[in-house]
Amino acid sequence: MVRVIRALPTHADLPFAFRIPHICYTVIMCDTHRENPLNPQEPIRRARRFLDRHYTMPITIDQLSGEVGLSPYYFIRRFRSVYRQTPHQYLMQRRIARAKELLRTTDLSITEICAAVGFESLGSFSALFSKIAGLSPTAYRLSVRPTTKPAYIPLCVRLLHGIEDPSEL
Amino acid sequence: MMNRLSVTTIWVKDHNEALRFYTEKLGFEIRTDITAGDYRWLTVGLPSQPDLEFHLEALKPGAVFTQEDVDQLTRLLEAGKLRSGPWKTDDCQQTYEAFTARGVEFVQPPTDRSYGIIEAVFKDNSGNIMLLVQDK
Repeated sequence: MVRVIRALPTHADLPFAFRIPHICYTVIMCDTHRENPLNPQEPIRRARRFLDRHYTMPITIDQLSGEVGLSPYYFIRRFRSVYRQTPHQYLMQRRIARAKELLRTTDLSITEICAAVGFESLGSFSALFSKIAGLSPTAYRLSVRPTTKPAYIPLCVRLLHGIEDPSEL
Repeated sequence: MMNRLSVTTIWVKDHNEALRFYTEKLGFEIRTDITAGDYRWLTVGLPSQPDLEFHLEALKPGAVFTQEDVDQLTRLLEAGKLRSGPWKTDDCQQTYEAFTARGVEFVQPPTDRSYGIIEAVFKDNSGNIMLLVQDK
């Protein structure tokens, strides 16, 4: 099963690192050498970091499982058992999370945001956004109190729910 | 010393349905909406009170609650035994009419009390009892 995740390439709004994928790749490879090969979760965490860094790019499940040296089927199963989501669900959620952030903190148009987070079709972006966020992108932007302060999850909640510090993800 | 309350929790059955209810029907705004793994930290607030947020905490089994806990809390919600408020309003009657027009279910319409307030009671879409109060 190969699921192709399509996306537009770069956008002016993208962080610097996304414009230089080969530098990113080098950084990931360096990380790899420091990691403990005996930790079975390590390839899965590495895959998530790969998704976190490249989520605006087209990523296939073959490419992703290849990055961490596992077969696609086994990789999806392992990823799901660690993160309670498939890699595809995680990628979609990551893109929508970034879209929410851009709706909250920038005045980019919905079309620009759709492209910036890696969607080609405005229709599928809006539909997925509504499904995950509960409101359409336009309604979401209207409902949000604009802020420049970084958002965070309080420590008591993170401890209760076993959530890692997002700044360390 | 502690200064003030910044975030408090409202139990809800479903994040997205609660978000639509609180923003579209009650006039709340989204303050924070972060997803970490399968946990969503979603807070809303009233535009007139920028330093207080309400964490809409969805009842679902996970790291903290078992299915049994969730069933118990859901039963309490559905029985109208969990509540929030009192929420202050400048005009109880007008708020009652506006909310009713948007489909909010009231348990009790605005009522004058001898102790100098007008109060009304409605339910959110999860079953939380919300008390609306106007000082006279």
